[in-house]
Amino acid sequence: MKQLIWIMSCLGWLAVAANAQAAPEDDRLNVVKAVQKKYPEIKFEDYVHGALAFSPDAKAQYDAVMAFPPYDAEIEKGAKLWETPFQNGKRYADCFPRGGKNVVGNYPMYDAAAKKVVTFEMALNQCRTANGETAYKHSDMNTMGLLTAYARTLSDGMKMNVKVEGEGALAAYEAGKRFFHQRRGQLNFSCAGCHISNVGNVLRTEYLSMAPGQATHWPAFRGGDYTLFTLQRRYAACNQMVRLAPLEIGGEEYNNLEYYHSYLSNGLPLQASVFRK
Amino acid sequence: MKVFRGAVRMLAAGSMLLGVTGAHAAENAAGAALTADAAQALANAVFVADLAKSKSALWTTAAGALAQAQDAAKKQDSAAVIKHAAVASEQAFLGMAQLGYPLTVDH
Ligand code: HEC
Repeated sequence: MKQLIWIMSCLGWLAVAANAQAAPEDDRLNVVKAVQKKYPEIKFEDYVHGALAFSPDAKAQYDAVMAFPPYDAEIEKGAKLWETPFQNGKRYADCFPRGGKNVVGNYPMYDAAAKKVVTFEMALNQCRTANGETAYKHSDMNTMGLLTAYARTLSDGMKMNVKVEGEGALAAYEAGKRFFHQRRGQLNFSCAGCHISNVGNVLRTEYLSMAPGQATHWPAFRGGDYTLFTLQRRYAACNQMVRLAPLEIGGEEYNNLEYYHSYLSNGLPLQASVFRK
Repeated sequence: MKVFRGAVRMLAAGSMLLGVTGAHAAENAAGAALTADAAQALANAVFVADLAKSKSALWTTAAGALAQAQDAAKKQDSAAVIKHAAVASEQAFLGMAQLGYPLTVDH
């Protein structure tokens, strides 16, 4: 009897362990399937275009802007930030594998030692502080924003490849998932309520994009004056849209959200610095 | 139902706390030209809004009403303070109660 209990409990633990790895992938597939069921004609690869997938006119405008991006000078500023050596002579490129090429798809990653999610922005700041420089504010679009506008282009074409391995990572992922599905703000909407359940529907004048693919193309230059938005600044804007006071950009809640949200984009190619309305 | 009970419990606990901080703030504000009621209403609203913010549940409507109450306080308009502070407190409570809502499902 004792033996049986022992065997059963081992099997139970095995199931739990297997489930821990499978759960995020099941989540992602379920979300992708929900979008595919509603819009079988939209190709998975085109999810990176978000709301543009629903409007040929908007896509044409996007293509025209992207042919000669009017915000190229901003990306140049970012390149300068990236290339300029620190006081100690080291560079950002020294902090990343392959000099920073094809790395962004691995972010956010879970740092088991520090017990927290590390976004690409945090990795850039870690590089700065490790080399005796002060950290940039994550909400400062003129430093961190511009820096990522260039640094992320070095990973263009890389596929999103976020991993959730181990208990701590899964807990952070689950926290992000809860955030995504928690109703917020006076309008009482969750992220999922708009970007999963209402994909393709029009909110005021805008089609709602699908969650998979949303994390692949940051920063975005938005509107007539091409204002730079990092992904988390976009989170803040969406929170504000439902009348929730935005949370801290670079804070733990948005970082966990970005972890889950980016996982949903796994398998889709990155393209930095796109135009959005 | 659970949500409702949760909200009621939170309101009850909240108003107990509020009684305490409110009275305290009224004392602090004794020198100001606001009525004691207005000073207390404002202190309550600040307290609940801070609490909602610490739970990442602060609605912009709560924050906006609180700013209006604070503006009114600067102009020593007690009636307006009470009016806006009440809205701020209510909206902040609703934001916190929302945390008890079930999560939305994917499809
Ligand atoms: C009330 C509906 C609504 C809610 C709730 C909402 N959003 Fe949005 N979101 C929009 C609209 C409208 C846009 C602009 C059109 C588009 O791209 O979908 C947008 C755009 C985005 C984009 C940019 C997509 C792109 O390709 O440029 C991201 C990322 C995003 N939202 C994430 C989130 C997250 C994360 C949450 C939850 C914190 C959230 N949204 C909540 C309506 C919403």
